[in-house]
Amino acid sequence: MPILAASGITKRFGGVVALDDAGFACEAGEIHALLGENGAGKSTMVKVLCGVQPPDSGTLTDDGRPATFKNPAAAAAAGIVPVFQELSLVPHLSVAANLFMGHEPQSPLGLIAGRRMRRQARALLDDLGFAGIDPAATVADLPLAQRQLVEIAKAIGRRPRVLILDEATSALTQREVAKVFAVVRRLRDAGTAVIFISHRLDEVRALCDRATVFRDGTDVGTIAIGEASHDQIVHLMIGRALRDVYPPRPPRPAQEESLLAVRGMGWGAALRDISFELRRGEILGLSGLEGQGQGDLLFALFGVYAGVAGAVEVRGRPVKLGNPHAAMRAGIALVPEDRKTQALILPLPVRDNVNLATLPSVARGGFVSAAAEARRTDAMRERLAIKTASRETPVRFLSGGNQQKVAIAKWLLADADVYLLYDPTRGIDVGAKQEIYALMRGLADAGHGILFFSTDLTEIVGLCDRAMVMYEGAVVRDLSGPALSEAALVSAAVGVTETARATG
Amino acid sequence: MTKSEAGSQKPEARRRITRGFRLPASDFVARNRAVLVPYALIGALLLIAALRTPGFVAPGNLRTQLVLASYLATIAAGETLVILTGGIDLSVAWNLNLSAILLTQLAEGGGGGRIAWAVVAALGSGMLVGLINGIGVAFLRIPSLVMTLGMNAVLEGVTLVYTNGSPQGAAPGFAKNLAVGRIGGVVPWALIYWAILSLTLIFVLRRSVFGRRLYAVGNNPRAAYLSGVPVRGVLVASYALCGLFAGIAGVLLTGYSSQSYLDMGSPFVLPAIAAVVIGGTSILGGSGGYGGTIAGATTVVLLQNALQVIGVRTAGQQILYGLIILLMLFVYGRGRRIRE
Repeated sequence: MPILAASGITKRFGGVVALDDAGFACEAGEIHALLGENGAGKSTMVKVLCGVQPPDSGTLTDDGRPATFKNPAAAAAAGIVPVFQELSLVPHLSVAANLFMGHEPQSPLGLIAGRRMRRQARALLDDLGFAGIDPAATVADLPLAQRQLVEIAKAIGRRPRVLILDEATSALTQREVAKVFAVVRRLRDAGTAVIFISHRLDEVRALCDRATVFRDGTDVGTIAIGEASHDQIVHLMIGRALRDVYPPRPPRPAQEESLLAVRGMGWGAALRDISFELRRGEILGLSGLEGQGQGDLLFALFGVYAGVAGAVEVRGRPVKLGNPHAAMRAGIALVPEDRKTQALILPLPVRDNVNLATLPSVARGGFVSAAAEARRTDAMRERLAIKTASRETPVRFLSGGNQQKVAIAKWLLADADVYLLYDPTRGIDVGAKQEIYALMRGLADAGHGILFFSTDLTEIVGLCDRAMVMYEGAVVRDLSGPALSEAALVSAAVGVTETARATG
Repeated sequence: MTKSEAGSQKPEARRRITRGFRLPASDFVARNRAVLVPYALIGALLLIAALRTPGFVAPGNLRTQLVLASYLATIAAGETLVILTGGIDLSVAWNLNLSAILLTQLAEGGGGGRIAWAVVAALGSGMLVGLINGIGVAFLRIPSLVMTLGMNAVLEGVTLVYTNGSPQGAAPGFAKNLAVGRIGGVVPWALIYWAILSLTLIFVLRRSVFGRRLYAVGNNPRAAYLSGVPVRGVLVASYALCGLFAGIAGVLLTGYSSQSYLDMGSPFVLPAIAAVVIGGTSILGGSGGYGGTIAGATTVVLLQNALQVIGVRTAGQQILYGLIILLMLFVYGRGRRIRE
């Protein structure tokens, strides 16, 4: 008997049908993947399972008994604990306080026993193999990847019967993913059911026992992972065969015009003496372990930081990047890391978000032309295949991949020379990923330059013309041509770690 | 692009999406619920009042109430802008008071040129105060509540020093005419002014670059900043406009009472904020608009009048405003959460 099953689930958001008669079942002691393109309904299914979104119709059964979870607390009481991609930690509290939130160890007087809590937190983190995290550290001070690990530890600390990992590994580097996998396998062997959602198909293949594939809001099949080939799974997910994932790299003349030249850029300890050139038509990758200054470099180039040392030239002209507005006028665009808090205005319509950066160009005398705005929005919907009920749909109703497309569309309209992309394919499905790869190559071919940070090494190798590896705020390796391989990237990122330790 | 590939599975997806289609009318109600609530409130209020005191809904009385509402709605217009950014302006009390006093004292005994100069000074001081508020909030990052509360105290002191405790002069004829005059003895100038103000402001909020950016900043200043929106400029502009509206309100209220006097603005602060909130603008910023504030201001003024008719004293009215603001926050706050 399945430990948790859903059947006939339907869920609408406004005019968009997120789930349409969908179902699946998972057994105790298995790792069960939910697969599908963005907007296929996986995340909505998870939200239904753990009481975040009540379904419009359909039934859940918990150990064979019908169950309704009115809210996340009710689901948690039944042992169903989710970890989401959106982080739910309280940033200004310590790691330990977050881990035990709501069930803190108490002293005889009913106060929180801080020392005992930190000790238990240490034990929990050590047990999970997350030894690098200090229980007394404030969550806001941790890099994104460590916060994600804390999130996972917090869920496991509640001893779930069903653990749900919804894109919980997308912010992690390969080494951290391996740690999480070890923990998850241990839980499975102890009889816990694990529902796993990831857009990294190789992760799913490495970890999961079975998978249920979603397409267009309904389940289209459940397969044993070991018996299905990569191509079969992808075919099931997108209803068509996946051709070459990465667009071909065109041969380029050796000396294209320099679009972006950076010399001696520094910012406190976060960025140290960075110099490089980005040429017309080039996709330049940024790699290295997470949190080595790649994000700071993109922010510095977009004028977000004050007091950045060094010189920047765009198309040979020196530019002062005092703020994002100035960077934008200089011809630089940034698609930031977190689309929900940094890129998009979630309650506002698709139309407003798409046109936000370029309002003056659809306006005359300070007033926006509704027709011009609609035309541009539709052009972007068409060009990027953005799935939305209408132009007026608030972007919060769109799926992750479609939200990301809106974030990109906003900057396509700005027609920048240089595009800075921070992990643009994080947490979105293969189909949308492939579309974004093709779009990036198309931009490069049209004469733009792209500086592209990714946590996914295969993306860097498959897509980029050249890649820089960063370590502790400095560029430590520049790889191109045949030298650009996953092995080279890993060894550059890790090899440098060792030399730096030896010299430092 | 892989458009042809994406297109091959399109029809199915499109069919699924259109299944959620609903009637345009119900869609209109859903989208404008926050604005429709206060209008329904006005209707209910009028109905109850008409049943109890038929004289209340006489055209003459309603016209008087609407003229009074136009003063409040002027202050509330500025508050709407500032509240949409997620801030609040408490300095409107003494800001409008200073404008009113500048108007009467500078225009004292002078001709048309002198009166014009007094009007410019009154509106200019209102806008300047707003500008300083905006700079404090946008550049010095002082919370708006603190910034404008401090500014209010400073303005009170300045006004007391400037007037030596007793403001001089009388309202110029044009101000009286604007506030209480009627075209052909029938249509009040104040309502013509209010109609123009309303249409302009609604259009600016919906269609201007400034209006669009205002909503972006109010909802998510960080994303707006990273989208190249000049966030500080938007903030400063909205506080400056709020100050300008306070100045206009100062002129109107001077015309209404034929003179300026100390502490004439304070009784309007809470009702103005109540008008904005009742009108469905989120006190957290980012959603709402002036269409709701119009109804909000009307509701507040009708309520004031109705309470007077029933015989509720000022103290009781104050308690009621406070409760209404809290109740509205509760109602809209819940609505927002459920829709999330």
